Amino acid sequence: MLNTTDRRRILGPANAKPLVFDRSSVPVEENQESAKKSSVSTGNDAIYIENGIVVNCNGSSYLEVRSRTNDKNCTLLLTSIYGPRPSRGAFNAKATLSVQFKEVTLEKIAAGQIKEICTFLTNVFNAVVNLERYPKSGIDVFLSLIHSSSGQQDFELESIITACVNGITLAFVDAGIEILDTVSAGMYKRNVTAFMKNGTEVVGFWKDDDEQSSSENILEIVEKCKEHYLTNRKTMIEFMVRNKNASD
Amino acid sequence: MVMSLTEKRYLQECLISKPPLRPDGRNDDQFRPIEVFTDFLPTSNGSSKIVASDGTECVVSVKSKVVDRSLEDDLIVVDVDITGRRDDSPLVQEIASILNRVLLLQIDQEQLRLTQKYSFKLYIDVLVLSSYSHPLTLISFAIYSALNSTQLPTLISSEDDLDVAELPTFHDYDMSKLNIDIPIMFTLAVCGQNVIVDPASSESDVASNGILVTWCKGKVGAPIRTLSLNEEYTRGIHPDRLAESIRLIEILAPKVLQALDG
Amino acid sequence: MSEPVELRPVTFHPEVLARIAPDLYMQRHLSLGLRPSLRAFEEFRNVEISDGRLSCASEDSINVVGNNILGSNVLKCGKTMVITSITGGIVEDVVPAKSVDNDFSEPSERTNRVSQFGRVYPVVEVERGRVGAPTDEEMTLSQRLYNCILHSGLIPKRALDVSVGIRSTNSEGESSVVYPDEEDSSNAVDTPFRSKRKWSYTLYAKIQVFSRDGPLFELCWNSLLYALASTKLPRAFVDERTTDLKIPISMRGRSAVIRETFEIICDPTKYLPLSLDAANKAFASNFGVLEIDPEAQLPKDDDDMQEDVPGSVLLADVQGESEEASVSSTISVVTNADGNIKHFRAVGGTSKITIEMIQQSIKLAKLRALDLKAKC
Repeated sequence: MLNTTDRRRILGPANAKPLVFDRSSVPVEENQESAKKSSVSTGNDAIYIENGIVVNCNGSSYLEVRSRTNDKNCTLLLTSIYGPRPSRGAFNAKATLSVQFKEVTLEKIAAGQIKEICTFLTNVFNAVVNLERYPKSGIDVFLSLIHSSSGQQDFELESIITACVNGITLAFVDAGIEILDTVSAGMYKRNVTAFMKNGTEVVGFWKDDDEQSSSENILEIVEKCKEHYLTNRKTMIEFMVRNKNASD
Repeated sequence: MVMSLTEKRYLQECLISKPPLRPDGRNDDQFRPIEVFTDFLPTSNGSSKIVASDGTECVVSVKSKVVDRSLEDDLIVVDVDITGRRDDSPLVQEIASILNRVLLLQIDQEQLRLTQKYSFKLYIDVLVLSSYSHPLTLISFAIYSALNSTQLPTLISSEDDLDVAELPTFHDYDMSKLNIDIPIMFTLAVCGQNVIVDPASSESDVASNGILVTWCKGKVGAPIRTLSLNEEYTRGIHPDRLAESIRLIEILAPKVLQALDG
Repeated sequence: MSEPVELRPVTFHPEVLARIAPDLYMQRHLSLGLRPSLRAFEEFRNVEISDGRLSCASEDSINVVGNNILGSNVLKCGKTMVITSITGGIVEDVVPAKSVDNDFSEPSERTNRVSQFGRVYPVVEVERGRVGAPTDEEMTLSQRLYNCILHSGLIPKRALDVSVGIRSTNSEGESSVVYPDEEDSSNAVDTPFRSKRKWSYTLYAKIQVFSRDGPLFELCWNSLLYALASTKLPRAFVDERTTDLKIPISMRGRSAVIRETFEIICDPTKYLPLSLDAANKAFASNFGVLEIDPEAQLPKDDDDMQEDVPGSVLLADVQGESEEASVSSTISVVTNADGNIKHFRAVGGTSKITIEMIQQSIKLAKLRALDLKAKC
């Protein structure tokens, strides 16, 4: 990848070096403080939801997750769904689902990790979307991460995944594609769990780091995630009901 | 092997029943027999070949290089190549990314330190010659055996070279064994109420979900996550299945390691 | 014998008609004096902009590790949303060995006007629900933006020069950074270092478009311009201890390589705005020209028949599928309010673009530039 030049994009001078910011002068206490806050604030986010921002797709949702305690921690995510649209090739009795993730402004997630997120999310929604309903078609989900600065960087990926699950569900609702339940995800420390059926079924579990919660029993972690899931799901359902009432 | 809808339904029913009836007659906590060969590549520092009973075959080679620690952040690089799949296919990229991160996360980089300034950097090349089921478990077993058989040249120059402009020098033929904690990863399949280890390809095809569990330093560690084994039968699972798979690995992992070490 | 075939008029839903016969749909609207978007012929869409608070210099993101966005803009025009983020890099300029003194050697550059201007390297991505290589449209847009920014002279080359400060650490371990332009008295300290090498910033723009709904060049240009106007360049310095340090590394005694031990470090707290040439700040507008087809007009009352129907009309700010499909003659103008035109492009398609139309489009573009400039 590195050796091939990209002729399709204007890349700029080859000898340019990226900007290196000096981190030694940054007050360290401040960072730690905000990190503490963000770990406390899990489950205490203000969520702003908007539907149908992208018009040339079948359904879209825009999610702004802002921590209540620290206004500066926010994740902005735009989800758009294209499909069900006819897929070429062999006959498929079920729709095929694909998830693409892209960072629109800042690029800081490694390519391999993005692939991991995509396959994880695809697996979650394979269990959730009623794919039998859409034979011979493809449903493509595009996630565009506009901004994310959830304080301490370690927390970022997990809060992004949480936002992705919630965003995709809302976009499916906007697109009118059948899903089995309002799936939503909850985060506890660095664990993300996606639930359905009122928290009795897990459709996705993601645990990436040991240190924060290594001693805790997995069922306790899932239970903590569930609390966050229930508040997230409540927010989403309230939004959908309000949206419906407004359009009636 | 592509199964018909009826065959799949039959197999699914078998696996859901309690206890699960696996097509090859295994118990739910039983692995398929594997054959491991180590240290067969003369040009690499460590190598292993692993062959599973279904014909899945995986070759791992470990090579090392001396690097300046201040210039290199990641001292372990894993490269995965699966025959029949493009390098940029999701499965290959996902497996490479998981392995890279697990090894960096769980292996203490201090263990690769050579002198104050220099470290060994390990290049782990994974080649999956033929794969029928999700290859992650097998790859991680192969990496474990390869790293365990890795011999690195013995340092003869001084370890304290902070103020000396000197490159490390090594003994002409003495090698010392690499000594690090190596994580291994298990894939489990959830079929209804059952959790089965080491799913064969036909079992993966009808599983309700997959779970990836990592074992390192004598306990279950991160990452733990749900994993896609098929697109057709994926369902939500009860949280108890997660706990159950961890319990299963806690029992099995020491035995597996014993077998791999032996 | 067969019955004579009876022709029944078919009626379509407006959306269906727009899809199957965009030109007819368009003509029917025009005959009502309206466009499919219900705008008047020479009416532009409203433009909303914000900086999105994405930049690392903004209050929200300051000190967030890993944020290297220097300027940003979110532009909304109708349903279309354009998100532009500017990132930077540092590149070492090749300085001729003889010109050590601090002159801004100008004589030879008269001939090569472009060499005085800074560049921006844009990459445009339009979301369309597909993955893969960039489309023709994206590549053309990127190239056009690159050319226009360069030739407009919006960024004087001097604005991208890095004035490298020096960080010195005193005996108590406190470090302070001295910049050449901040402290005149300390000139003695930095001149020997500064004259040897020269660096400049390079700017990259990432432009992401959602809900494409018509030609994009103008939206991208305006968004890029706003983003550049909001761009702040970090102050940069080198550590005093490393300025003159070069370490020869011997590679097994064969050859000696000089390793550069100093790197330019950016200050995460101090920023200077990118100084753009205000006279060259221009905004883009697009127009379409469409001939009115007398056959496709809605039937009118007899007494109206005498009324003179104009042969063709000028439409400002082309939008929507049916407009884009039926308009093949377009005009694109990049100008400021004073009529300092930076870019003009007219594509003569099936309809004739008259002199009056060109005049009118420039007049409108100037008015629009005045309006857009106010939002900056």
